[in-house]
Amino acid sequence: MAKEERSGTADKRQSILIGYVAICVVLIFMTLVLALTPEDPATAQQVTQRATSTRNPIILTAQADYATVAPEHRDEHGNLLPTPTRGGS
Amino acid sequence: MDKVAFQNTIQARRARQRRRQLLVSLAAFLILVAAWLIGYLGQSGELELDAYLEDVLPQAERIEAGSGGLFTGFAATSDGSFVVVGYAMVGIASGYGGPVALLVGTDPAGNILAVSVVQNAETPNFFRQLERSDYYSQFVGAPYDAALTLGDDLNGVSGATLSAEAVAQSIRQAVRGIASSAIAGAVIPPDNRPVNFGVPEVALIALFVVSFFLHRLRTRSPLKRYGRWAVMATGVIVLGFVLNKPLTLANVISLLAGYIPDWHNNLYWFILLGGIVVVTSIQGKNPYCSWFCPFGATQEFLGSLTGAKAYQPRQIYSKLQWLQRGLSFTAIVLGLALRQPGAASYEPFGTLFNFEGSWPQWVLLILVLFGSLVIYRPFCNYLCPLDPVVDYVGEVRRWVKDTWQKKNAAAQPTSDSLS
Repeated sequence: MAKEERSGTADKRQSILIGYVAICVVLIFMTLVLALTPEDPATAQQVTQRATSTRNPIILTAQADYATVAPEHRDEHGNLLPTPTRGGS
Repeated sequence: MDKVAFQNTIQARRARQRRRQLLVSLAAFLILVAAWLIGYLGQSGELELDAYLEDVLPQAERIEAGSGGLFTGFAATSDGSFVVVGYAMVGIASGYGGPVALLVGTDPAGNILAVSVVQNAETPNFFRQLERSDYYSQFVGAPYDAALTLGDDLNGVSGATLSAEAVAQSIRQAVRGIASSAIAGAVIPPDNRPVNFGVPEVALIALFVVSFFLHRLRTRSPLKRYGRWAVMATGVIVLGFVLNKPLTLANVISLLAGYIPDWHNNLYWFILLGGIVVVTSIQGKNPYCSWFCPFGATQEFLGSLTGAKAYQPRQIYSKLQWLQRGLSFTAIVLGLALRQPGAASYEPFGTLFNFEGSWPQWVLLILVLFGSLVIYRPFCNYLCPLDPVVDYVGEVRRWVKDTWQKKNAAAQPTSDSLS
């Protein structure tokens, strides 16, 4: 009887271990699916609008300060002059 | 007679087992090669830059591709002629999981107007940290000759240092390329890349050396016992919470994919991977997993609170080990085929040490931490994808040693031949 009880307890512990590992494996697969899916739906919409499949939404822009470009300098080297786009007279 | 039959049966069974192992190894090798080729062929195309060019050169009405990867943006003037309003170029550097490519737009004088991430294979949660911490804004407005170096004119991002360094390196490369190709008389600063050797590297070498010598002591030695706890605590605090630089599957996949990081900035990874291979090959014991892996040590600390014991039931342990190998293999194959080493690295290390992770990783972390109170190192024993990889190094060592010994035994003259 004691032997049967021990065997039953061992089976139960094994079942718990299998269940525990199975849940962890499911979570691991979910981690992989989430990480390897290219973009979330919101970004995917942006991807489509901008016509590229690997698009990352990170974009930072600054207004160019064309005043820093000296026209004389560009002339000396034979380059084209930039057109002032803001703050010009 | 019975004894001979029994021996024959055993030999036949061993031969079958060897054949099966050989077939499995061959199949695994072929799958890995196929995954590598799929990833290579899928990535060999040119970067799709059209949409990004509009973003980094917003004033340009017309963009022309020139030689050396230089793009020139033009805008129309009131008299109908076109003038140059900026330049753009792609820069590429090796990050944590592979190449990181950024497109950089500048004004005609070489001041950065915009940067755009064109490609990356970093761990998504960590790479997003750069965006969240406003890392990219530091580049906007910088001239082409700015240092653009972490710790100099750039603030790094804690927990995503390698990605931040790769982004900075890509932008430096692109903006210097624009200056040398398009700006007459540009004086380009030399690309000084000092070797990054500091506290992390020293700590790592110290851990390898200390654990190597402690391994040599007797098992019951108090110095070994207390030394091991000290090494584990250092691993958790320094490699885990302070540096957040544990070994991950992403490192292994990156190497298999051929992404060798720049050693100037990534000396730590070379020491870590090289140290494991060298010490395991010499000593036959892996010092990292059982000693200073911060995640393994955390589990062991938790287990010590409750006296958790190893639980490896004979009936199912072998099957669970194969499950662990299968998980590791699947992640490596996916990482190689999709060329996403960072994303395929499913361990919840960053979740614990940097509080970054997807929701399944958080749930997994909680399960592992609670499980550690009951079972000795449950993640290491049943789930860690690195365990089979490090075991493989040990297997290769054993195979080389056996082959060497057999060769030596065959070469040595026997007593019969001498007489």
